[in-house]
Amino acid sequence: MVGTKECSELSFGQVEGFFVDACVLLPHSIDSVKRSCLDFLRENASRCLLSSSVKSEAICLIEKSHSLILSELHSNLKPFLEKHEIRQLSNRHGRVVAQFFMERRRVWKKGFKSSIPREIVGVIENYCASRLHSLENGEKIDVDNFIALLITELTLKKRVLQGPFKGIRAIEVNPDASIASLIVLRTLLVNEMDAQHLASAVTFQLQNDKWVIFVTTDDTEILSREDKLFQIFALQCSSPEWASDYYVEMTKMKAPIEYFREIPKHSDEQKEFAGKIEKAIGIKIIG
Amino acid sequence: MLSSVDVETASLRRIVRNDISSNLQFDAIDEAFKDFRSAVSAILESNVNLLNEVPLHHDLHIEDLRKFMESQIRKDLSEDPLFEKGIEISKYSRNMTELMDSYFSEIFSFHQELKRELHSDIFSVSKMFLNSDLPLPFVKTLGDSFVAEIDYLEVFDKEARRERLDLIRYRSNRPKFERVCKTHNLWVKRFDEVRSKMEQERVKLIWYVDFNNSASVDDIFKDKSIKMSLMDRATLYGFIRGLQKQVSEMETLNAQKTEIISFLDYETDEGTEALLGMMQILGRYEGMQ
Repeated sequence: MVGTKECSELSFGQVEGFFVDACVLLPHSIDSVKRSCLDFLRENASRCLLSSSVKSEAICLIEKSHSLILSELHSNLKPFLEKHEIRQLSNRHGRVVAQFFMERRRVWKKGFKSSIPREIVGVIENYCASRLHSLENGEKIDVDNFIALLITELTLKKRVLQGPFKGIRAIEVNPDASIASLIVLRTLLVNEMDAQHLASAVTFQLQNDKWVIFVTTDDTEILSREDKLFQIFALQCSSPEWASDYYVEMTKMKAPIEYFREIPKHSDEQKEFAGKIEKAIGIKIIG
Repeated sequence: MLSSVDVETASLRRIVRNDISSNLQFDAIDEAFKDFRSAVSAILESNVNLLNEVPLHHDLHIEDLRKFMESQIRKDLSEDPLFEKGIEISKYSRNMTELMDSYFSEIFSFHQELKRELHSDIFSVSKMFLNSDLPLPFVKTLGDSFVAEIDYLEVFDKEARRERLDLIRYRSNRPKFERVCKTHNLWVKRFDEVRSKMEQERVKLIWYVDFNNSASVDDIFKDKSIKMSLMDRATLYGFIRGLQKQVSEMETLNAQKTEIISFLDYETDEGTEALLGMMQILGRYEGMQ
């Protein structure tokens, strides 16, 4: 924890800002988490930074998700309804649409061993079902109009999801692969993209010799490894609720390189990290 | 979101309009005011010029097409209340000292209407895509271009609200009043040039697909099934790439004036949840590859 790492000499203004994870910028299904992200962003928008890896992963995932649903509607749902000579849909066509998804599950299942395809079909099925059931009793809509409305809605929602990623200062960081690998190795992170984002923050922090705080709501992967990430890599991670407190604390600390150098007895893991950093960006942080 | 009534009346704007923004001037008009007729002529000219940039199949003759387009554009514009509204607003913008209140009382509702039209455009393009074997980038790039234009309108409105306060404050301070107008014109010019290029690329793409799927001029702009086999794949992708480039320029400009705060008060609904659900699955899958 930051409070225990404070140095005797106070030097201020060495915090560059918050490296935000994509989950902070996307709507969360749990209301309290959503609220804490919104409060954090409202208060700290100007101090937030977005690494190129977080930005490109998020934009790419939004695009892929959009494409996947659109393809399914265009190339499969529409031909299926045509084959069954359904020209108009009402909220009483649930069974036909359900049959479509049953068939899709069967097709997708063939090529995969994991549950991924079932989950993907499930998401599209939930969406179509909710839109179909939202039709008024007695209301009929042409199949083309119905599907075109879904595509329109998804295109506008894509804009909403991508919006926050366009409004934050983006930072181009290209961390060396060895740093991300070391993070995976020493913290046992499962998601390699997360390791890439953390490596971006670590690299940026040392290149600029200014603290950054990695803000995320990801308990399972990142926050559960908060202590280890600070201990070895000197990267402070935080949930949005406490990020501002860490910010204040870190303004009282020495700059990251000096802080790292002055650790009384470096562990083997810290030495290994220092070696990799020196090789990757040419900055000596020990000795 | 479009209602079922909107769905029935939705139609795609298929011509270059250039009717979003006009310069703010402080005094009475110092150049010939563009009335309805001269605005129509200017739009006709830009569209007819653009025709030369779209390859046609051999059964379509450029002269027939030109005549058809001229009559179509005249008809469309004469029936379009928004076009008339745009002309009226441009009149107010030319005499801000006198007509500032009228300008600001109309511009925001005008933009609301334009945004509804852009939603309707996304819907129409989606329908076109559904009745075709067109590739996904066609509908996605066009969708992105409409969205980038909606973003521009929002940037414009946000800036205009701020500028209005300044103009009210400096109403009796001529130099400062003029400076606010000039600053407005400067940034709008930069944005509108990019928006206009994007609109041209968009119209060219739509025309290329429509013209090459029309046996004669009589079929143009009518609902039809679109076939890739009637088009040259490389040309189609060339138009898509051309539009993508302009969309990306528009997005970069919009981002310069976009604040994160403006995106934060979103309500999650079925559409958002579907995209988020899909992202979670794909993210998990890709992160473990």
